Amino acid sequence: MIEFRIDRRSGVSTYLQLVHQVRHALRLGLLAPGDRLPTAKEVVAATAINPNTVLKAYRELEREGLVEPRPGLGTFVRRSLAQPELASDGPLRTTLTEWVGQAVAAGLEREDVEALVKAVLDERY
Amino acid sequence: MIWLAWRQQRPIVMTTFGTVAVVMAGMLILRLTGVAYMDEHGITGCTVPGPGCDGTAMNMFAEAFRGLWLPLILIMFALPPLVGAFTGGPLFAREIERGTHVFALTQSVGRTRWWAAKTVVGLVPVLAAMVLLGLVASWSLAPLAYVTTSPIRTPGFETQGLVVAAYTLLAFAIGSVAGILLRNTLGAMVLAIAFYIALLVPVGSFLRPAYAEPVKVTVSVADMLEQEAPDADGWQVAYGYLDAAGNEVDPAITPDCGPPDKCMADQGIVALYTLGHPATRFWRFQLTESALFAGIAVLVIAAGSAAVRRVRT
Amino acid sequence: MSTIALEARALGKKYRRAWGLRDCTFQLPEGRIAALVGPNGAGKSTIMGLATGLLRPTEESIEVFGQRPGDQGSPDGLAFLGQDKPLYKGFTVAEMLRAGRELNASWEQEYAESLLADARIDPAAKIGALSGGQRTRVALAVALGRRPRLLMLDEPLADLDPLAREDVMRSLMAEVAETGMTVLLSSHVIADLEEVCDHLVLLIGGKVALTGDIDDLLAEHRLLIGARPESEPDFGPHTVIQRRDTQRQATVLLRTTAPVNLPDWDSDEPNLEELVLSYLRVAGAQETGDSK
Repeated sequence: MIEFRIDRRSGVSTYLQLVHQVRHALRLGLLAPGDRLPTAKEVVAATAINPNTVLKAYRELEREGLVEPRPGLGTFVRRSLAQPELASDGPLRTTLTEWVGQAVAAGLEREDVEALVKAVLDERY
Repeated sequence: MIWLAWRQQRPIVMTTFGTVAVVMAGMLILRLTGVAYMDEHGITGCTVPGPGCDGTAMNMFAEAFRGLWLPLILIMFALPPLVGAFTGGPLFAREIERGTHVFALTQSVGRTRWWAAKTVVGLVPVLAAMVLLGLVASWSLAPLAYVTTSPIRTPGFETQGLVVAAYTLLAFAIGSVAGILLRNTLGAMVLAIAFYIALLVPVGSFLRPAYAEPVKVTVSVADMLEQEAPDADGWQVAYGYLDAAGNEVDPAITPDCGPPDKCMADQGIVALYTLGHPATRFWRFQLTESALFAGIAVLVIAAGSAAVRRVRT
Repeated sequence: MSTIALEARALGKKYRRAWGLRDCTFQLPEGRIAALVGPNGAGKSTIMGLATGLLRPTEESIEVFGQRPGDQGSPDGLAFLGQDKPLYKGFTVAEMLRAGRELNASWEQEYAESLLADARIDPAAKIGALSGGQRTRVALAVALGRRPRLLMLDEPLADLDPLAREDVMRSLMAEVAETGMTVLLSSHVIADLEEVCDHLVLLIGGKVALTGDIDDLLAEHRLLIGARPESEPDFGPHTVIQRRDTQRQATVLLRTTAPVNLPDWDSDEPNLEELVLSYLRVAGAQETGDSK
C-alpha cells in the first residue's frame, strides 16, 4: 500500500498531489491492478488533510479509469500505467540516454537540457 | 448533573465536614470536663449563684473554663460566614474564572438546571453539618450557662442552635450569587462575609430585642436592695426608675447624695423596672432569627436564578 | 439541496461598548470543513458563542440545523470545543468523560473511550497533569462523545506545539472521514487550515468579507502580475480587490465573473493564503484611511 506525502509549500493543490502520487506509483509499478488504496480515514489520519480532498482525488482517478470503488471494501487499482517503454532497457530510454549524452558533449548545462525538453514537450502535449 | 456537582464540591465539603467535626469534638470536651468539674465542686446543675449554688465556687468555675470556652465561641462566631463564603463563593465564580462554565453550558443541560443542581448539592451537606453543629453546641453549652452567660444573650445566642445553620445559609447564598455577578472567587467570598456582618450587627442590636414584647418586671427599692436581680438568666434590654405615681424618673445619683436608699427616696423613687426576655424564649427567638436569615437567603438565591440566565462567556 | 448546518442571517451582537458582530450573513452547508478566519477581535468567538446559546444575538438570527440556540445548552447535533479547552482540572480523565456523559442526553461512552485509547491517554491521569496536546485530545473526546453532526472548535491549535498540532488535526480529520460530520474551525493562522478546510468564512471587523467553498472562491479570483501600466488599466467586468504597484511591476487581485482574457498580464489562481491576506490588507488600508 502506498503512503502519501503532502508538500505544503509546493504550490500544487493537495488534491492534485494525491492524484500525481497515485499515477506515479502506477507508472513505477509500485501499485498494480487489484491493489487497495488507503481509505480516506487512513490517509487523513496520517496526513491531517481534509477527507473530502482524498475522496475528490480518488474520484478523479476513477474518472480516468485507473481505480474503482468496491462498496464496503475500499478503492482498488483497475489498471497499471507501467509501460515497457519506461523500463530501464526500453528502446525509448536507450535513445534518450544517447541524446542526453550528445547534449552533454555539446556543453549544455542540466538547466539548458531541462528547458529544451520542456519546450519540446509543450509543443507536442 | 448531581454527580458532577457533587464531584466538583467534594473537596470543600469534605474540608467543611472535617472542620465541623473538630469543633464538635471541642464542644463535647467542654461539656464533659465542665460537668465533671461541677460535680466535683458541688455545683451540679447550677446556672446562677443562689441557694445550693455557692457563688465563690461558681465564680471559680467560670474562671477555670473561660479559657476553653472563649476560643470555641470565637470559632463558632466565625464558622458560619467562613463556611458559607468558602462553599458558596467559589461555587460559580471559580467555574467562570476558569472558563469551565463554557463546557457545562454547551452540553445538553439547561442553565437553570445546572445552577439549581450546583446550588442544592453545594448547600445541603454543608447545611446539615451546620445544623448538627448548632445542636451539639446547644447541648454542650447548656450546663456551662454561668460561664457562657445566658444563651439568649450575645454571644451565646449566635453560637448555638439553629441560627448557626441559618447564618451559613445566608453567607452561602450571598457568596454563590455574588460569584455569578462578580465572576471572581475572592470578591464573592469577601462580599459574602461583609454582607453577613453588615446584616448580623443591626439585627442583633435592633431587631432581635423586638422579636417579642419584652417582659416588664417591677421591683420596689426596698426589695431591690435585698435580693438578686429578678431574672439573672434572661436578657435585659432596658431598665429605669419609677416614682409612686408610676412615672419614669431620671435619677441623679451623685457621691454626696448619701446611701442609695436614702438618695433614691429623696428623689421620689420607689421602684425599679426592667424590660427583658427570659431565657425560656431562647428557642422561639432562634426560630424567628433563623426564619429571618433563611428568608433573606431565599430571596438572594432567587436573584441568583435570574443572574444565571445572563451568564456569558 | 443540501442541508444547512449553520446559518446566520443579518446577525448582530452588541457588547457593552461596541458591536462585536454586525449584519453577518453566511451559510455553512452540511459536510463541509469550514475555516472561520479573521484577525483577533473580528468576531470569531462571538459567532461560536451565539451558535451555542452562550450569547444572545442583539439583531436577527443564527440557526443550527434549523434550531435557534437557547438556554437549554447547545442545540441538538452541535458540539463545541471552547478556546483554551475548558476542562475540570482536578478531575481524572475518566471523571471528565463521566462529566460529559452526565451532561448529555445522547452519549457514546465506548466511542469516547476509544478516542482516548487512540491518543494513548491513561484514564486515571489527572487533567491538570496532561500536556496541552493531550488536554486537547481529551476535550475532543468529550465533544465527540456527544456524536455531533456539527463540531465547532475555537482556536483549537492556538496553544499547541507543531507536533501536537499535527497530531490533533490528524485525529480530528480521521473522525471526520469516519462520521462525515461538519466542522467549523476558527483560527487567525491561515496556514493551519489550508490543507484541511474546504469552506471559508472570512470575518473582518465583525462583518463577513468573503464566504463560500474554497475551490469556488479560488476559481473566482485571479492574481495578475504584469508591467506597471502607464494609465489606469481596464479590467472590464471584473472587480479589483487589491492592487499593489512597485516601480516597474503591478500585482492585482481580481474577482471575476467570467473567464479572464487580459493578454498583457500573467494570470494565475491565487492560493488560499494569498486570497485571505489580500482581503485583510484591503480592510486594514481602509481602516487607516477611515481614521485619517
